[in-house]
Amino acid sequence: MIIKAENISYTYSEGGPFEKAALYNVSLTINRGDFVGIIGHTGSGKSTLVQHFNGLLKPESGRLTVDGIDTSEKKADLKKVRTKVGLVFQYPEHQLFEETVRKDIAFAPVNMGLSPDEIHDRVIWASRLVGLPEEILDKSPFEISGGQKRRAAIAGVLAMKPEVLVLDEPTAGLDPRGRDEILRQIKKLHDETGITVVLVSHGMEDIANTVNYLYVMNNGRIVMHGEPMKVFSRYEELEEMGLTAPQVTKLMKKLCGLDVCTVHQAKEYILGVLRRA
Amino acid sequence: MIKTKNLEFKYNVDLDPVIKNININIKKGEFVAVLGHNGSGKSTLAKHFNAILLPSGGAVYIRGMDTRNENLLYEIRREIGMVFQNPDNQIVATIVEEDVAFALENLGVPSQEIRKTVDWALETVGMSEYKKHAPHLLSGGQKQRIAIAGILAMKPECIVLDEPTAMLDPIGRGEVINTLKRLNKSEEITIILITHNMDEAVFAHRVLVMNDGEIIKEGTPADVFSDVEGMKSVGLDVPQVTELMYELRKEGIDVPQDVLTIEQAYEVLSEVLC
Repeated sequence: MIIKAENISYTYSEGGPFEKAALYNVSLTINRGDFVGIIGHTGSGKSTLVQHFNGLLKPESGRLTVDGIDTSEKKADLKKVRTKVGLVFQYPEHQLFEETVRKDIAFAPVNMGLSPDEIHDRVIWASRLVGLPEEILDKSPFEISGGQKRRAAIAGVLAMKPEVLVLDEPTAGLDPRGRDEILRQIKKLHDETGITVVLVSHGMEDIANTVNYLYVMNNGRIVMHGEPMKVFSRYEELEEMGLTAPQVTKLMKKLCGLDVCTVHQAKEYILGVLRRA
Repeated sequence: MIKTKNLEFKYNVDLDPVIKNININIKKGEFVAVLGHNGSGKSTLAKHFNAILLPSGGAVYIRGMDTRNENLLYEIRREIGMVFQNPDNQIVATIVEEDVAFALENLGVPSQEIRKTVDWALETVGMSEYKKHAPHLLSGGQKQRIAIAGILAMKPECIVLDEPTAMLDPIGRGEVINTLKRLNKSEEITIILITHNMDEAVFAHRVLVMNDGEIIKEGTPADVFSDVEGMKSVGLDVPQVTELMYELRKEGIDVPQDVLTIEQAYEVLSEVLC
């Protein structure tokens, strides 16, 4: 197990006039090599939760451990936590700031005090992982396309070689091709390196096609969890929370009470039935 | 309502055109979706509809008014309102109703009439109860509806929306799309929705598909989405049930291709399976 949350709660501006409770008694366990999805509508607490995963926020009550390090402890080595858990925020391309893509990706490795050779290797490695062509490394991050910018920002986090990659809405605002490319790269990264991935999204189709395990958040609580198929089959409850399920899930449930979450699964099932008939 | 004739646009004379050979005719009361991946030219096209950009070649006519005629600029912009992607970039006032009144105040409309129009606009987008709120405390979907109300207050004939839901969550998306459907139906406002989300294009009367600056396909949503391979080849999606039908047809199963909704798919498949 790499991340473990035990009954964590968190309130923004506690005691102030804008006090807002964001998490109540959230518990979850993420194991090494997992590919986990977290869904929930805006304000459900997903971003607050993932900011606990690398110690940006600390629980008010309860305990959060990353590879055994309790982030609330006074002496906790948060620097270590943050190199173990790489967090990619929403619209990460807004954080690009260096003169060249290369320098931007190298920012964390430079600050980690690595040797120039190691830095170079990591930049090349990370940009390959996200599918950025080498010739754009010497361009300004402001003259590449939106999808490339986002991949450059993700490469910057990967260059730290984190053990867990947390992505908060990595496909927001991208067109279908950009979205599929990013998701394919993330899945490939997971399959090839065995890195643990946490994907926060409200794109249900994205989640259905990629993750192995899914948590659903609503009003600061985890209200459902399980395999994506099982979770999506409860689409009526999801809809009450302002979420949706993939079209094929609803169709197949209505048609034959079957739990599926991808077009491929639906097709295989229908073909199977027809062949038997 | 909107007519273009061999419209072409270049950002610079030495560069290739960003859009070219655009000949479209949008009628009053239509709901038209323009689909295309990023960089396909759809936003450039949209900006021609209210003369933010002027054609480098060909022409754009708004109810017969040539957008290149500077004297008609005010009139053209009163006919065609625009809503953009980022709700935070479109709100100027600190109170919702003041924001909606902004354009009317600038036009020197009498204050009683402003009151009436603002109330009507907020009512129409379902935001009346928030009229005294501060916009920055609203959700994305609510902010977009305020932006729409601000445009609505000008009583335009047509509203052009450039990816209005791209930054919203599913709830916000639903709010905005339902508002648009209502405006089109009950207020008979012409709607042009630029999007890359096929779920939103399904509601349109007509879909235009753009690629490399040209309109490559045009028709009803059923016509356009039936071409699963064609849509995928230009980086666009089709509804999952349409894709499922396509996959089944590939395996030699006799199902229609023009299926867009779960209900239609249910009907088709319950026949095939039972």
